[in-house]
Amino acid sequence: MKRIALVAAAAASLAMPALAADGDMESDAVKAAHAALADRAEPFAMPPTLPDAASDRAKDVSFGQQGARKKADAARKAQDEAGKQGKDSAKDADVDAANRAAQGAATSAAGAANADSHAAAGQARAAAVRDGTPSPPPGKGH
Amino acid sequence: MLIISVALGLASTGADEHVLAGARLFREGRWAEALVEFRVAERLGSTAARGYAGATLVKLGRPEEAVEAFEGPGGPPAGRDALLDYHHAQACWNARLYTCADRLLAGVGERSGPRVAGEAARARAAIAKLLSTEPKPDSVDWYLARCEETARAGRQVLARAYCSEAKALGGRRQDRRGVAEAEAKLSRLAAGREGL
Repeated sequence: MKRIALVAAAAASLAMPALAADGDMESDAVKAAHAALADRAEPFAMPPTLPDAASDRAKDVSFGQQGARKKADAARKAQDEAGKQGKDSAKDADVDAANRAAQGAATSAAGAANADSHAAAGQARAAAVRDGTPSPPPGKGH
Repeated sequence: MLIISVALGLASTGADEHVLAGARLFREGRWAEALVEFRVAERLGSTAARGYAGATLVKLGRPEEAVEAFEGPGGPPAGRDALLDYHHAQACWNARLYTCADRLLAGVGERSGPRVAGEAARARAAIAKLLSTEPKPDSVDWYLARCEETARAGRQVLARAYCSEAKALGGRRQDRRGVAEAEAKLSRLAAGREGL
């Protein structure tokens, strides 16, 4: 029994500083998060409008058109970016594979909700690496 | 007992590292990555991370999910932290839950610093102007319909938020349109009957 108590006391003495340090760290983490929240607190999108069925239908149509346009733009950009990369590495690469990678990247980039040309280029680079196509050094083509 | 404490301590340390990483990414505007960090922190036991994840979802343009993060189980209690309330209010605002936003912003005040307090005051003034005229019946119906849709989809927290908004807006009309219906739906939601 005494031995258990001794072991427990020893373990407690080892654990306490760790827990105390953790307490400090937690407050540091929370402080950092709060500072970030304060830093990034942005104004509200004005003006507020109450929805109704009719206006929503109209919005859906216009958002749908805008969304399709954005997707098409993102796909086009992605194909351009990936195409450039394919050309840069053409001397050693299988160009067809690069084009396939570019196509895949463009398709998935267009499908992604927050797709942009940088993401698509990144995906294209990754796809090109997977396919064994040499890719240009980072930053090239941007 | 000791082992549990030590294990909790270690898990918490890990969670804090993710909160710190999330905070850095949030500050840099790298929302998707920040969200991952806050979600991991939450899984590792950080009680604060859910609110930060909510704020990040607002930035990602996913206000309904943000409302769920703020108002679901384990979400930060309203009124305790003015900055979290501000971001929560933005989630409500972007989901067009204006009375929800107004309620939260009422408590923000100077506790969050003069800049945020100023924005909160401007937002409240805009809501007051919006609600200075009687809401259209169509608007009340929109919230009731959204309440029903989200409840059917099993999103009880969101359904409650939309029904509460319908109730608040209907209550601003002379004919109290939709109030009784919203109350009935809210009771069913409280009783845990999903389909309404």
